[in-house]
Amino acid sequence: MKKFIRNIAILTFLLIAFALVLQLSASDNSRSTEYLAALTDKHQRAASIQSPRILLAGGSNLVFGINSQHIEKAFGMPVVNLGLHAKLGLKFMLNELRDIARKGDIIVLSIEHSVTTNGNLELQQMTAYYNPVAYPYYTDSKHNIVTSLKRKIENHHSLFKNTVSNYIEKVKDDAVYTRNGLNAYGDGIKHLSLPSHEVLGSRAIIKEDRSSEIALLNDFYDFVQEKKMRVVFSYGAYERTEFQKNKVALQKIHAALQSQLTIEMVGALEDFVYPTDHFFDSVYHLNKKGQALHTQNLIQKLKKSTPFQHMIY
Amino acid sequence: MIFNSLDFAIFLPIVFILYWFVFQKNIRLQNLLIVAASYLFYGWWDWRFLSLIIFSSVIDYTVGLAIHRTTIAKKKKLLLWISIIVNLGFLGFFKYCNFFIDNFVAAFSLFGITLSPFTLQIILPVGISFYTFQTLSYTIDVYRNKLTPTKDFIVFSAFVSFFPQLVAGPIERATNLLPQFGQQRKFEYAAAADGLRQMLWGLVKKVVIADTCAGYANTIFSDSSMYSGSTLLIGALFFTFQIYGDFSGYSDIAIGAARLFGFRLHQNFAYPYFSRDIAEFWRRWHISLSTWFRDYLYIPLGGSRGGTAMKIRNTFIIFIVSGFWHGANWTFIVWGALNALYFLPLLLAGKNRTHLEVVAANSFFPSFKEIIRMGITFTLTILAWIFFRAENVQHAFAILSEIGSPSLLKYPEILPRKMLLLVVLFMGVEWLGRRQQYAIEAIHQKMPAIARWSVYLLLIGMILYYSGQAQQFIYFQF
Repeated sequence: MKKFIRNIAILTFLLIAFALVLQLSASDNSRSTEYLAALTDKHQRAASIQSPRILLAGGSNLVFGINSQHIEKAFGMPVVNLGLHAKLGLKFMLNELRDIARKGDIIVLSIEHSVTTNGNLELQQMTAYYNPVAYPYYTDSKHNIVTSLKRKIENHHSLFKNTVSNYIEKVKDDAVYTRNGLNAYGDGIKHLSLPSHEVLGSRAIIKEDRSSEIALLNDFYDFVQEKKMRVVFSYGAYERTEFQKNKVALQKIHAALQSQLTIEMVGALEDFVYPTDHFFDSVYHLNKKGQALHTQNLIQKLKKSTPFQHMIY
Repeated sequence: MIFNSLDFAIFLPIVFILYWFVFQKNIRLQNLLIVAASYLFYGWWDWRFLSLIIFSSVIDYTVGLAIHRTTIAKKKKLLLWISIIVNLGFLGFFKYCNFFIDNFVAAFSLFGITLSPFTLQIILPVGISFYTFQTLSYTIDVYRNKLTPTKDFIVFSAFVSFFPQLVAGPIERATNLLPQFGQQRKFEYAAAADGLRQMLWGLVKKVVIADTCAGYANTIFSDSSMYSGSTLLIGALFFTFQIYGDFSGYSDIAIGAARLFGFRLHQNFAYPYFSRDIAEFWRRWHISLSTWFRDYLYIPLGGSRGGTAMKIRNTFIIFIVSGFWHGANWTFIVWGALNALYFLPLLLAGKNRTHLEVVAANSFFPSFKEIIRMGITFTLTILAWIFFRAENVQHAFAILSEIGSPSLLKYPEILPRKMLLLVVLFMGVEWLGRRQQYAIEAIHQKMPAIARWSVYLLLIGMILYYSGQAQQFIYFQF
């Protein structure tokens, strides 16, 4: 038994030492060119601008689908594009907004159909690795020692994976999915000059039951009301064949949103559905043609919504 | 709780320490700890379904003793039927109820009769197909006088719920596992180190191979209409490795974990993708289930002793039932029937037991003939897996028809070269270790300590790198 325990201890020690060396040799997180590190830039932009502001919140359909400068010009209000990744989950996105939105802001929620309440823990941990401010966006306040320990171990696991990834797959600093691939507003720009992919990714079956997401959104609406902000909800850009595939489920979701959501909805179910040739690499990411159309489309729909309709353009 | 989770990584050392350091001198307490740990392991998923395991344990324990006590043949048979009805009743209700309702309604609609369909919101208890078969084998063996029933309820409960193999096998026979709970266990370094090595290899299979292949297989199968035949074939190939890595990986972890506690479970997979014909494949794939069906269904039906018609009937029965065991969907039934069609020519020609030894048993490389045979068997297996993975039978035929079309020659839309290389490397290691119980079993005999430890660290590093949010094992649903 002694030999067994000794060998296990040596193996554990070697593993921890190896992981530590790897992590210590990793580059400075705050200056990382990783895509997820762009959250820091978005927050810096938000902090540098006085309210009222337009805060665009959602997943990557906002990064690869919106020209924030056009929206800024259309409404005469500064815009911050907070979109990053749909798999961060709705809870994460809304907690982020609770953290940075201020009185007078107008929040435009542009949520992809695939967004779920809790999102992907690993992705959230990676995001918090580059942007420690994001840690409370996905962790529960009701923590006990065991869950805290588990979270810490999981965090270290994510860091390990990320460090190894950086060694194995060196990504060019200005590639599409990098921090430098985004402009000052937080919009993706590098993909605009690239040809679209032959096969679009992120195809999935959309789940019908949205009661938990609707409850979260309604809670958020109460928060917005209390803080004297305004909020509207719109669907994210979506590819037509994918829409057809999930049409029955989406119609049910739409009906549920119409009857239960307290946030004002902008546009109808099919208003942000576009043909395949408007997309770049996934059914949510638009190419240059798609970005221009979607931005104009969103501006037109926003103009008719309560927070924007009394503005003088 | 699943093996590739942090919960299990915490759970296992705690149980190990209690087992060997606190209760090592008292076999009854060790068994009690196994029962408690197993119930915790299972209840972590849904504690409500523990009642099913406990109920099943009580029934089979009582029936086993009653069968042994009585000398009246009719009473013995009646008791056996009670056990069969209770166990298969649970299985039938939880797994097949909605399937039968749906098909009943569909059958009536063929004659223009519309029934208003109703289905029940039934959750399938994890592992029900496995522990049900394990307990059934106990009562049947007692009935056949092959086994003396245990009088110790704790021992019997530990046998039914033993956490390493509770939810996805191997389906252990009472004749092998039950006596081990009655024997004093002594910690043996070699056995424990071997167990850890097998767990390590099982995790590599699950996390590095199965979960990574699953990403590609799911993408391709979920939007099969978008892809050419060549991409669909790649999707089927990835599923082929996903299901092997997933299920044989689980078995390796289960067998390894059991060894840590001084138990020996049977080998469940013996390099099935190196088989030279389908009969050999079925002797190497999910061995504990195949032998279960052989001993408790095929042989009682007459096996291959009767005439040709009987052989054909029995072969179809066993393969179709085996397919249906995997899930309440016509895809599994067709998958089973297809395997019966593959198997029958060999049986009828008397060539179903040609390849009993591992391929290239005495040489490093296989012969040209063996390569061709392995290639054909592997291709047939991939085509059958399409039915296993497809949403429904029509979906499977649509995929097969696209694979059979000229688009098979198109350059695939999805071609993950790195992953394919990883799979080839993995199969290379499996080939090197094909004479052992698991591929890296003999590593401690063949490699010096430094090289060996470097391999362990590399494999652990790969598991940590490829693991994400813990993925369920496919066979949990069966």
